[in-house]
Amino acid sequence: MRKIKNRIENPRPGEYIILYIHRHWIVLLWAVLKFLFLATLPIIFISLINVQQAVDWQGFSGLIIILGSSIYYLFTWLLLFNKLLDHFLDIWIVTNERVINIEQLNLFRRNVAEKQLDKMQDITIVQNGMLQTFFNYGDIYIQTAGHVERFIFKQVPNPKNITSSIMDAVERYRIKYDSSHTPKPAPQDNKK
Amino acid sequence: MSIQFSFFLGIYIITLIIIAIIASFNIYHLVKFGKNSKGSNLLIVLYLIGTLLIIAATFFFLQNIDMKQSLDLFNNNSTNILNF
Repeated sequence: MRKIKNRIENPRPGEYIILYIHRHWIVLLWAVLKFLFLATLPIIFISLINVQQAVDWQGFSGLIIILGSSIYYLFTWLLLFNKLLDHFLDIWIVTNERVINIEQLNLFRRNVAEKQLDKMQDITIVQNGMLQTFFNYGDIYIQTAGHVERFIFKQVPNPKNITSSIMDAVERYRIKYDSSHTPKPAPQDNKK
Repeated sequence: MSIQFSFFLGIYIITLIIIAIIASFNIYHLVKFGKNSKGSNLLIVLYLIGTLLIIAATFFFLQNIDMKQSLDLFNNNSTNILNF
C-alpha cells in the first residue's frame, strides 16, 4: 500500500493506492540504445574524413563540423530527455476506489482520465512479439461504462498480476458499496 | 562578400537558446507533474549535466579556431570554401 499523499490529486477519504504503474524498463532501454547509436554516427563520420586528412580543424570546415556535431548532440540528447519524460509522466494508478490513467502525449497535451472501479466491465491482456513474451510486459485494455470507453495500460510489466489486482480491487469495491448501499425497508406506519 | 566565423557562432548560440526554451518546457512539466520525486529530480540534473558537458566540449574544441577569420564567398580567386 503506497502513501497517497502527493501521488494523486484530490484523494478521497479512506482511499489508498494499490498499484502505481509505469511502462516496462525495456521501453526506456530501447530509447537509450537508439540514442547511443545516433551518438556514434558523428564520431564515425568525423573519423572517416579525418583519416583522409580532409579537415582543417582551425578553419571553416573544422568550425562547421564542431558546431554541427554540437547541435546534433544537443538535439538527440533533448529527444532522449523527452522520451524519458514521457516514460516518467505516463502513469496508471489503481486505488481502492478508482482507476486513473495519466498520459503525457506531447509537450502541451496531457490526458487524465479516471473511472470508479464498479464501472470496469472487461479486461483484456495483449502481449505481442518475442520481447513482450520474454520480458513479460504488454498492454491491458479495460472496457468501461461511460464516456471514456476504455483505458489502455501500455507496455506495463506483469500484466497478469496487474489484471488480477484490478479484478480483486473491483470485487472488494463492489462488496463494500453493495453492502452499504443495500436499501433498508421503509418503516411502515401502523397508526390509524 | 565575406562572412566572419563569429556569424556562425551567433547562429549556434541562437540554436542553443531555442533548445533551452524547449528543454525548459520539458523541465516545467517534470517539476509540475513529477511531484518532486527523486526520479524526476535526478532526470533534470542528469539532463542539465549532459547539456553542459556538450556545450563545454564544443567551446573546448572551438578555442583553437580564430573567430575573426573570414569566409570569402563569390570570390573569383577563391579555390574551395571548405578548404578540402
